[in-house]
Amino acid sequence: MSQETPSLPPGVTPEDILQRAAIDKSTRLPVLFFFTSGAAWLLVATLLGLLASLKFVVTGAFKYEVLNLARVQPAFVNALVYGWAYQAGFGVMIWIMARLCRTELRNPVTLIVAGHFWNLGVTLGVAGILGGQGNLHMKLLEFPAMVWPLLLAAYLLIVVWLVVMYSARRPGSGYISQWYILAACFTWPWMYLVANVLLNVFKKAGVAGPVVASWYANGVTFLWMVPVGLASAYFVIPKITGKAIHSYNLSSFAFWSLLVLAPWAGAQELIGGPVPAWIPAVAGTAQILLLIPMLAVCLNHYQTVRGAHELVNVSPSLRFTFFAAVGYVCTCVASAVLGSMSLSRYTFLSFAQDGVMMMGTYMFFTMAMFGAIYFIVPRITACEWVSGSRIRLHFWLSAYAIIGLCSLLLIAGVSHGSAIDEWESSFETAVMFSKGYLVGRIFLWAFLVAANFIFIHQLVLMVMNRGRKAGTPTLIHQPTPYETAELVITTEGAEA
Amino acid sequence: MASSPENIDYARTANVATMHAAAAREREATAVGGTPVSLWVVVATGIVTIIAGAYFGQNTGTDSSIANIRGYQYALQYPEGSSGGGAAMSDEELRQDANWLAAGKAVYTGAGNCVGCHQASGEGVAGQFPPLKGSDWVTASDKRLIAILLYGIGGQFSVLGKTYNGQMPAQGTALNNKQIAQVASYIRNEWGNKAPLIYDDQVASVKVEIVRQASWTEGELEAAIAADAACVPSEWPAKIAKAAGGAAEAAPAAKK
Repeated sequence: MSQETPSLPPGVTPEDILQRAAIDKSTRLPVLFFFTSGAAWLLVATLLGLLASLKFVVTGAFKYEVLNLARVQPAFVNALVYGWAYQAGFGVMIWIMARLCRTELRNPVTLIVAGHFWNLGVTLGVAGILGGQGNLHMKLLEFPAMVWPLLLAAYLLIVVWLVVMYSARRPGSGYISQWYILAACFTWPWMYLVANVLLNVFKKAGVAGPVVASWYANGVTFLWMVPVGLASAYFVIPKITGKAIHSYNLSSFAFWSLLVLAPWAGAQELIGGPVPAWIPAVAGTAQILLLIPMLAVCLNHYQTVRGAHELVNVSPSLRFTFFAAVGYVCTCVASAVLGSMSLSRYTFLSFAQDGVMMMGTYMFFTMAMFGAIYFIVPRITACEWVSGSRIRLHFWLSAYAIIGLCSLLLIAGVSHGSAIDEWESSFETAVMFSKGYLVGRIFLWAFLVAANFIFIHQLVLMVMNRGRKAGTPTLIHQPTPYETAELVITTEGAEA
Repeated sequence: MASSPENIDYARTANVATMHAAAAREREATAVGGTPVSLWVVVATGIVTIIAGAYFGQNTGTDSSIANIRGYQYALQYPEGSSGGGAAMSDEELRQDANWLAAGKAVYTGAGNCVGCHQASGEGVAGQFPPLKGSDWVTASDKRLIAILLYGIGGQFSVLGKTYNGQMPAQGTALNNKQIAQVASYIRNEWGNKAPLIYDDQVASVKVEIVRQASWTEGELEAAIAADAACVPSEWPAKIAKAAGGAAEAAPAAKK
């Protein structure tokens, strides 16, 4: 792409650019804080995940109370979700919201203080789990009971500024991503408060406990990660392809159907368990209906990218976002299918549920966040990513590892679950059935660790202002002359 | 590419137009197309809705009456003594063996309680939920049994030579001391099990002695409470005997 005459894209005035630059500058510190501390937690989480998968096979390894498998596994999941996913999400939410509202961020310090409290909460929580203080029977609520008010307060302190920004937005700057970000601002505190008040304060939940816990865990995926991930996709795709989102009506339909349906889902994983039958039945029905917003979003994004698919090869942001979209489809389909009575008999209490969790958290959300980070960081650091080939390596290692991990966990889950279902065989035999898959899982985790080392190294270089000092974007690979011609025609120089 | 501005340090240049190259090459993105929702979306929505409806029907059975959703009838909080056989009974009467065990059975079979997993036969579900019938965990140490009921147990543990892996939720928050004592007594004396009854003051003493957040693992439980550990003796047998003695004395007196 020629830079000889850096002409402005159509519809963009020099004032727009100055305004963007001012917004980017105002968001620089909090966004980089959340990205870097999130990335550090990502590394911790992947290492814990590697350790957990290792301990599943080499049962005698690291025989310390602290590194007990029953503690390492939830510590890994919580570090991944609250340490990495939420913080990456905060950074993306802040930046996209500021840009779309066309307002500068006036209180970066408050956000950073809240961010420190969030990190303190996650640290106490993960340490508490490893130290044996966690509530190990509630998925994603394993942190010791003292942590939740801290996390909730930190979250509210962060999102209140997003709401303030939205209410102070420039006229005429309403956009789909803002709806999703606003939704995420409100859904999580609601779910987290309800779940913790019932389970940690009143402590009277009894059998309703697992229902609330499964509702919350599903809500983290479908009412928080999906809105934030889609907000990022709705922002990144048109920015890079230079095309307007296909249909406003479809976007609005997808948004409202998600918000109406998702709060009903979750408890289908208790099917056949000691809860009233209608609870899993309603939840499973809602989970199937959640395919509708997914189809609408996919159609919308597909129609938007159509004609510019070559850009997926070239632009790091678009490639990660595209992969995340595939992850979103897989997550919705797998969640819907695993809720079915006939199949859940084989997947209940098995690795398949871990597989779906990894799909939502990593294959969809984490990859979407990588896409957004590759887009945002050059803008707030004023330098470019060091190397396209390293981004490519990061992508392929992550993609290969996460596709492998999710399919292994699903297949191992079904074989493990059907072995559990054999009345006469012991649990040990059932685990033996999936041993081959579990050995494969260790290697895939090693790939994931390598991928994240590459990512974090790149990010640190950017933060230290050691990126490339050039006005040209870092692309995954240089487009061929033919592709360049095509791309210039279709997108007029849009980039990563 | 010869004239492309490579190797310019953007952090040091004063030229705003080049400093914000990343911001400058970006497109406007706030415009959204107005394409109406196509017929195919409506059709696909209909198909998914039909599948979801079939799923709902399959999982709630053909009985569409309100009775089918009456599973919700169990209360989240058990009123004090609700399973105790009526308010007319005195404390001592309630704790007589037959009444105490009957109350325990009511707790055991209460909706959402033990029976869902451990079954009415006390044999559990092979490979998934361990049996109570003939299990040492139930009949050996009263203290250990109370501790399991109060805080739940998770992970791998072996019962009657078979390994189970699951999670028994803590009951200490859902059931009161009386109910825990009743149900513990019941499972110790049903299906051929034979062991002394447990009373609520014993549950209270374990609650004071052992305070936990997390549920037990087999290793932790074995380390904390020996297989033959016994609770402090209950005051109730003496009180019951005294009350019974008093009644026996009173009876001849009434005859006079």
